[in-house]
Amino acid sequence: MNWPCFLVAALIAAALDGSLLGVLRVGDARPSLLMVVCVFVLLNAPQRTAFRAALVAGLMADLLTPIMYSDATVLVVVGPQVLAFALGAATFLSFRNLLYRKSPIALGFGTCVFAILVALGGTSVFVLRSFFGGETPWGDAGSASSTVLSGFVVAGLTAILGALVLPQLHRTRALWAFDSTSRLVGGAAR
Amino acid sequence: MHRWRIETLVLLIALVCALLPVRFLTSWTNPLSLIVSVPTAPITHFGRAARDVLRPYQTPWVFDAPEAVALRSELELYKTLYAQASLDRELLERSLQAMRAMSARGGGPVRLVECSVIGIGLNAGNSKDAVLRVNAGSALGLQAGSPVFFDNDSIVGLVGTDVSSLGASVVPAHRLSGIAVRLVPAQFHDTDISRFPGAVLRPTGHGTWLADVASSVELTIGMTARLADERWPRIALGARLGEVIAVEPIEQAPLARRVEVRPIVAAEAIATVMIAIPEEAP
Repeated sequence: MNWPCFLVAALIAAALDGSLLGVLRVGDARPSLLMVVCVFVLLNAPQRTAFRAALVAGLMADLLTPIMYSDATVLVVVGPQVLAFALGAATFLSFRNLLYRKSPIALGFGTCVFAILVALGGTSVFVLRSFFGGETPWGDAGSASSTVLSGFVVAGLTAILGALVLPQLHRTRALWAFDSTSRLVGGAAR
Repeated sequence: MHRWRIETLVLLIALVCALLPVRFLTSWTNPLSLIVSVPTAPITHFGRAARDVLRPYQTPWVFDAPEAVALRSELELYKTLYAQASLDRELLERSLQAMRAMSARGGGPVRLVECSVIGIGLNAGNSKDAVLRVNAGSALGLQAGSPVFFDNDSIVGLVGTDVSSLGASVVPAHRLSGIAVRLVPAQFHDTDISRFPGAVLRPTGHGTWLADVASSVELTIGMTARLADERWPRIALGARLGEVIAVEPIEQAPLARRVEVRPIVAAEAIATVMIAIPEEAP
């Protein structure tokens, strides 16, 4: 895979997530283009490369979504989104061969599953963190359940965005230089 | 399995970082985020500008924020000031109206003093017979015997003899006896009332007057008794004093009738009055 291409695309997607995609918000939830890019890589790249790309995308999400305090100070917690993206990527990679990649509905479904797992994974890590007295994005006013519900809305919106954007991204496959060759293993043909 | 060793290690590090307390994070995670936030800043900047044009965010209203509390408090203050200003304007308009009405009455130069009723005298058995206390006195030029009006054209009574510098008493008209009036139809608004039957009112003791009227003019309930007593200041002549509430024949005098008149103003129920003070010619 062309890593510079992935990094640039992921950075642009992350930047748009925090800005322009606010246009598509529903309540506090808005779709994530970074997840769509990640799903695109997970669909096309070799498993190990795709998993690593998901970890990098998770790290970007962590770095760009700090916890906001009431006194306007911020705290960046590295890790929750890395683990959440890893959970989503691992699950997605296990069923990606079942997806019909030319169907927007199938792509939307795959994106939705990935986004739901990211929401569940991220919230679970923060719940675990709260057991040790650490800060959470929902603070004292919110709750983990409301964050998960909001994550489901994000998943729905991201699924719609994925169904629309992934076919367009598919046209740029040449730029990404996905390695489509398979390693030949000696032995009897099956 | 060994092929995924690096990924497993990364995940373990991520889990440890995710659970680290704040004091171990702030020193390096916030600067680390600059690696991503700085390169994305131009795109974020234009993206936010475009978003604010297409669909601007509305700042959520925090009800208990100090600014919100201060704003609400200020709003209440300005509402009160507005109400106060409205009342002031109403008062001024009423005074102006009264001055116009009084100036049209003639009867020599007078000065009008608008004042509030601040109490009812306790020397009376009931509130209907009580004298009123007003918050104007000799400091404003009040004199005993000055007529006291309400609603421009209705007589309340006369200023009593106990005029202090800051207050005075008003004797309600229905406690005064021997007041000469003319009984005119309620709908009559002309100035010449001399052709209507006259009567002299005497108090009954329970807030009304009685008068015997010897006239062939038809007397009806609802007629207005207008002041026609030369002993009163000229500015008060013609003002409304009472309303006929009963007309009865007199057995001993078949040509005369007895009328009962009640004051047109319930003195104990009014809040502000206008006092006309005759001014001496220079």
